[in-house]
Amino acid sequence: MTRKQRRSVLIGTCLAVLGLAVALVLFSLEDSIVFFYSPSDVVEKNIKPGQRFRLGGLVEEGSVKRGESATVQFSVTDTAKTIPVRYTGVLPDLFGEGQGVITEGTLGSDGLFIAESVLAKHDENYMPPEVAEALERQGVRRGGDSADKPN
Amino acid sequence: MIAEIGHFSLLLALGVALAQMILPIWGAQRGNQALMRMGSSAAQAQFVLLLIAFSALTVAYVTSDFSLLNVVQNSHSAKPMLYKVSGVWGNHEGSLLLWVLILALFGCAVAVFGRNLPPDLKANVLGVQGSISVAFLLFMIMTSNPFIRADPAPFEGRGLNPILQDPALSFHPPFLYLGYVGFSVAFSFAVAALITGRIDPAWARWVRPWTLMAWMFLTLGISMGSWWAYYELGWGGWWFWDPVENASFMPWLSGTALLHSALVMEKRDSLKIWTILLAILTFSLSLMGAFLVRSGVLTSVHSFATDPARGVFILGIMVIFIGGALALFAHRAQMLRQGGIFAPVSREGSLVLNNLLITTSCAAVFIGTLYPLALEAVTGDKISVGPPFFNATFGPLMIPLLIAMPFGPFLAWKRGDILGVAQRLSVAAVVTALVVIAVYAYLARGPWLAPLALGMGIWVIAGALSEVAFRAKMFRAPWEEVFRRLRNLPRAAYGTAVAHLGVGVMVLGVVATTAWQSEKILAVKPGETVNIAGYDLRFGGVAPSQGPNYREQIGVLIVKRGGEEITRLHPSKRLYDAPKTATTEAGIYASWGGDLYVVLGDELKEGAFTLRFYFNPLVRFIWIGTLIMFFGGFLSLSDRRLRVGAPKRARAAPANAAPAE
Amino acid sequence: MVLWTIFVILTAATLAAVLWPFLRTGKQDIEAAEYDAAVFKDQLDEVDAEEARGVISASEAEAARTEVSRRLLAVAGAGNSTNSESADKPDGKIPGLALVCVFVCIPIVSGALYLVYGSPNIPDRPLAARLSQSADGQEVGSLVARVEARLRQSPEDGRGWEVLAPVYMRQQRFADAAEAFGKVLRLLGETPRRFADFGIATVLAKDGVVGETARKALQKAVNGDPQLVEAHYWLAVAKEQDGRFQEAVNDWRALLKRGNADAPWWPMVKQRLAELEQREGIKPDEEIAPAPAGETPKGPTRDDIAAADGMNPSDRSVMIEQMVSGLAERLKNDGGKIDEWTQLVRSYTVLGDKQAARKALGNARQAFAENPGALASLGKLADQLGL
Repeated sequence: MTRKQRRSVLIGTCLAVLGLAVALVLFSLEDSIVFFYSPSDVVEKNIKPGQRFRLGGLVEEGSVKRGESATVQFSVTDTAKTIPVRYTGVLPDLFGEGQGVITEGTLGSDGLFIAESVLAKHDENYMPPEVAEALERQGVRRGGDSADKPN
Repeated sequence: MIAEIGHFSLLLALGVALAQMILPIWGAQRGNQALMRMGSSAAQAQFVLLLIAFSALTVAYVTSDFSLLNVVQNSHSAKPMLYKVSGVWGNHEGSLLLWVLILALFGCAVAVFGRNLPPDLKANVLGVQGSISVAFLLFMIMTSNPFIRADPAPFEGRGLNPILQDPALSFHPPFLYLGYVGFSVAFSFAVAALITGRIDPAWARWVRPWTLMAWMFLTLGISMGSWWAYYELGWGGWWFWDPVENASFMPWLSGTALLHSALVMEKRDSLKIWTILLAILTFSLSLMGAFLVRSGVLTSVHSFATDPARGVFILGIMVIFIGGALALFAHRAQMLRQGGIFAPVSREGSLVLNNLLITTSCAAVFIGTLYPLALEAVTGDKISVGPPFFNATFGPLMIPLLIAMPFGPFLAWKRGDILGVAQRLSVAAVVTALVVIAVYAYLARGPWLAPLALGMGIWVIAGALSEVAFRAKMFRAPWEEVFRRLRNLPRAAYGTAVAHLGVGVMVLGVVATTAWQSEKILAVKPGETVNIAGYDLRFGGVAPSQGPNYREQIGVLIVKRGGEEITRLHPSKRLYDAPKTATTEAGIYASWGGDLYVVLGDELKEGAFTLRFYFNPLVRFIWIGTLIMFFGGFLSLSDRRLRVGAPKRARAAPANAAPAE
Repeated sequence: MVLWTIFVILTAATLAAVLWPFLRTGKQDIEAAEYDAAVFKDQLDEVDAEEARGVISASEAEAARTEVSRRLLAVAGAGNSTNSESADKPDGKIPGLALVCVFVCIPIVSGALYLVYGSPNIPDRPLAARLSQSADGQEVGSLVARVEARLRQSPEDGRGWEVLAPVYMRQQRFADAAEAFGKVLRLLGETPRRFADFGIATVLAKDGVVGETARKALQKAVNGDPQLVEAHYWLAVAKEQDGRFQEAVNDWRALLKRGNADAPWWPMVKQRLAELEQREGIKPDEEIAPAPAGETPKGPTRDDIAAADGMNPSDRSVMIEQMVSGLAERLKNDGGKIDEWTQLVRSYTVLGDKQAARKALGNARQAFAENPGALASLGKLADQLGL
């Protein structure tokens, strides 16, 4: 092989790998982006059932219902709007009424959010920033010195 | 008084670092030996001073000296001693002190062990190390000083996040930092080489042991972090593509690429521009990791919470160092003459492919990690990019890498013979094919691609073994000769084979756990039995218990297989006293075949509990694989070849060696 | 003094260590190129070794040798040229400017920064040493720490928690207080007073938000003992937070009508009622006399304290100190009620300033010299706080 050929083989391989990578990134970004919405967003933006997203807010006081099975039902609220959520599994340690949560899943056609995962932070004063911001927009301000604690 | 001595030492260290930043580089420009040697003495003094500061903070933690604000916020008198000590670096300020201490340790190591380095290169390396120290010391002193006092001192601290009270996690940050910060040496070498303008194979040889060391520690650090997440978070997984995990993984990927490209540079004087660029990029990614974790732009289980001023400061440090290094690089790049040429199919070619695939996958991780931040900054939309993205991009890029991996070490430099190599790998190929067929025959369930993916792990392992066998002429020469050859094989060759074998073992674990994990979530009443992966687990109920600084509810599960009791699992939920925090402790039964993993959930009616069961096949192979990789790195590092002696005259005149303080 | 001596020694040692290369005579070191050459010679040896081992073929070895030799020649050439250059340069001499630089960096920069950030006057306070101090001259905090240590051993000791809980309240450790009151309820039995304490602590722990737990406890308290004014007050706050403003207003009005305008809580409730009425446009009730101007206590209100709890520690201590000094100023100039003096003394004690507490106590005794009841209660206070 001449020097030129060698170089073109190298450059060709590089371009092929990069092209493959770019294609992979673009395709999977399309599919795996998950938006974060507050209950008000869900109502305002008219989210269609079946779309995957993250729902964040406070667990409404008195809304947690446990049945016989491992399925739990509760409501996530940003004080303006409330969305009922169903989840099957082990809730995080700090899950509790009045605490901030983020759940990921899809909205059913009956308006019930089917969560596949529930996140709550491992610090009782912690409020996920997305949730805090969403709540602030609703005019709810809650104190707490989460800011100076390492998580 | 101890606290104030620590504080003063910290500030003295800043002064020393300033001198270390200015004088040796100046000396190298003027050709002044005494000034150049000051780099060494300053680096050692800086390390000793920071060690004093770190010890002072440790003493404050151990004796619960709540006159330090940092101790108040992160410790508690009732905490077990181990966690008082690990509490030193379990918070932003303390971990920054550890970061700087390790930075100084590496500078000191270069000063002491770098006798084989040309004085001007060494002076420039230490000067650049000094400038990194200055930046981080200023950052610490101005925004995150651990020696700020609390007066009057409260009588009790506010505790340490109990989830961080765990042996694996206690020692995970030091290793991680040894890795992160270790890459600063490669960075300093790159910048120093750009300053001196001598960028040659000798440089690559000098930088390799440092890169290898950093890589080893980072491997171990990431592995420990993953191990901690596995059994402490109670989510049954071992890697979550969490932004903070990615922040440590990106420098690892780029560092891995650097290790391989430096090899080409050393042997063939080729890929010089690329290697220098990788050295700069690897440390830049480490800095970015520090920025992401500490600035609060990311939210994660691991991240320290935050303060915008800190974020801006680190961003400034990043811009100065990365921008400065890249500008210097752009200025000097055209003067680099490209060295040895090689055919596409050759050892060099295979290493180029390795670099290409690894850096591309690193870029994919980078995009997935930063895209949400960029999007939020631009449009204000909040999104998250989850594991599916990383699996869909990172996974496919690893496939060609794993397939090509066994070929590399067999190929000759300059021009390789792919058919010849294929022949030498035929045994490995047959073994792989047999295993894949066996797995297909034995396991009907699971994704159809999984046995092939499993085969890739086998292929890499068999390839690594074939290489050693080939080099020793196994089965082709009398056994005495084989043993003689095995003994004489350089450690570096073993290092490569062992590290590659480790990758194969890890792939086995990853594939098996991902493809064949079983999971059940059930509401179980005491006395009921659950069956998973051939095990029968009888739930015996839950009892309360008291620990040193927590109360817990412990569940009991009797595990039987074929009617015989194997073990008892005790998953629990803990409630810590200070701060009041609940954690989940999974009950894990480990065996070679896989882990039985049980998490205790909430209490339901009539004494029933939600229980989550997992069976993770071969999951231990993941961490065993990383340990093997670490060991491979260690073998290479111990090779005589990476410890080139100083020039002969220097040995004859020891007075010229670096000053021993 | 010892500390400064240590600093001087440390600085001197550091300077000596850094300047060590200057103190030695500078000998001609080896040329940079020779370091390169050492590496290439090693590489040549390796090629030989690999060929001998049969890992590479003779032709490969020959090619490699040629390549490495070429590098060796190149550095040898470069070495010679730089050699002649650097031979002219001064070597090993100490430029004065460098010395200046070292002295500016190490003692001056470090020392100046220490003057800015250091706290040389604060001694170390390891906990063990603080706990073993003799009984008199002990701070409240140290007593609390001891009681806590004992209760960790015997967590079922309800009396202990009952002693500790109000102390927590005074130290504004509301979450701890709430838990302690909760334990008292569980261990010593339920009384309306304990329900009220638990409820109030829970509310304050949540920065003034009345949650479901707190509301239930407060309701039980007033059901058992309608005289528990504070519980009534917070129940009304709960209604306000639920948006039932009219009900909250009614409750507060009832409370105000029932109580005496001299009661310490009265002006505070009145103020909060007035705020709500104004905000929601509810017509004020004429039957309730407006709080006399200047009568409103300017001491820290519960809201202030609750706000303080949400702050970071330094802001909080600043705020508390401001509130306390404001109160002290006012009492000194205008005089005040016995409750306010008591509050001031307690505040100083909580802040750990015993001297100021004693002084305030003395001033209070002077102010109430003709009031035996007040003097008695001040005496009790002094005993209680160990003044």
